Amino acid sequence: MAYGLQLMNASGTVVFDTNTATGGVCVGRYSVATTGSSFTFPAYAGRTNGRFIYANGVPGPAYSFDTTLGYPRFNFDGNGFAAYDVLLFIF
Amino acid sequence: MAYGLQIENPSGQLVISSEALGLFCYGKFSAYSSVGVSGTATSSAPGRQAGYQTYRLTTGNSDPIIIAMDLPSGVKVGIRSVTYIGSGVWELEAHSGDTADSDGFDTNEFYTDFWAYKSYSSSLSGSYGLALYDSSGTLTFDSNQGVPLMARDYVAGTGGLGSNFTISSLTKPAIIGYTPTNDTFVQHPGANTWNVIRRRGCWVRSGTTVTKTTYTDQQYRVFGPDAPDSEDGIFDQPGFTVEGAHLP
Repeated sequence: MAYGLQLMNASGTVVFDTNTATGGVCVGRYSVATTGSSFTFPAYAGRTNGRFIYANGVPGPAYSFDTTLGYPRFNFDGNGFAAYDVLLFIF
Repeated sequence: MAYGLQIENPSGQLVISSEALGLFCYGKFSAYSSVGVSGTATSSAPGRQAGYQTYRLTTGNSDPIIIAMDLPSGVKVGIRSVTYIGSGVWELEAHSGDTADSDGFDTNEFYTDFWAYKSYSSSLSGSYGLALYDSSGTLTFDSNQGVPLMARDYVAGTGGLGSNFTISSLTKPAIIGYTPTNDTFVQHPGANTWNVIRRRGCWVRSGTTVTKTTYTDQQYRVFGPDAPDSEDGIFDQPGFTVEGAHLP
């Protein structure tokens, strides 16, 4: 690698490499209300992409990401039957 | 940010931030028990039910964990539940199987590798390496506590069942991401006879292709003039792939 950070285990195998990792630092776990929720991250102004995974096995119907406010915002629709948890990543 | 550390990959994507919630692989679940497929699909409830396996891991507390699952080639792998059962122990129930019968039930069941990721404990675990703190003084990265989460691909999981996603070439591909897709559909094989079929979401991999799919979890028969309820539960199923060969 020309630059970046690598971590190796005790055997010398690279187990973390910023050159081949795909984007997204975890910014936390959030609960989406049954009627839907938005989550904003002013501290990450300038970052323009987000990703998520479900965190407790309960699904949600629709998701969008925007920077209309000048910083990342995640918008989740409620599923109408239960709150669900998401793990959010920004890159 | 006024200070701290951020690192991007060559695409300009943020991959380390001292302000983020760092996650690392805490350990691998141990196989605990296995239940085989059972019952007859043409009988009344419960009819025929898919097999599953349980696993346990002691983390010492109820702090949230995130699960990575191995994706052996051709095997349907799906998490059914993750439960904190007390005394620092987590129990995972999952399905891993292949060789489906004519009703879609996997007849070959086995244990698969599952790992738990969690956020760093607050105390440094070594005297060398790299540690990062956020602006509140919370330890958010510590190279000595375990393999940091290193996502290789993002699988959006959008589209219907059967949607394919290409991942990186990995030695032991694993995926982080719950599989919430579940549905129930009803067949009408004859007068006053209904088949109720419940399916659960899972992943299946072939080479560098990962497919969002389901396995048949339960099928039973209902008799009478009225159709039983069906339920459409096909949702997005996003996930991150990781290199399982680098995990404990």
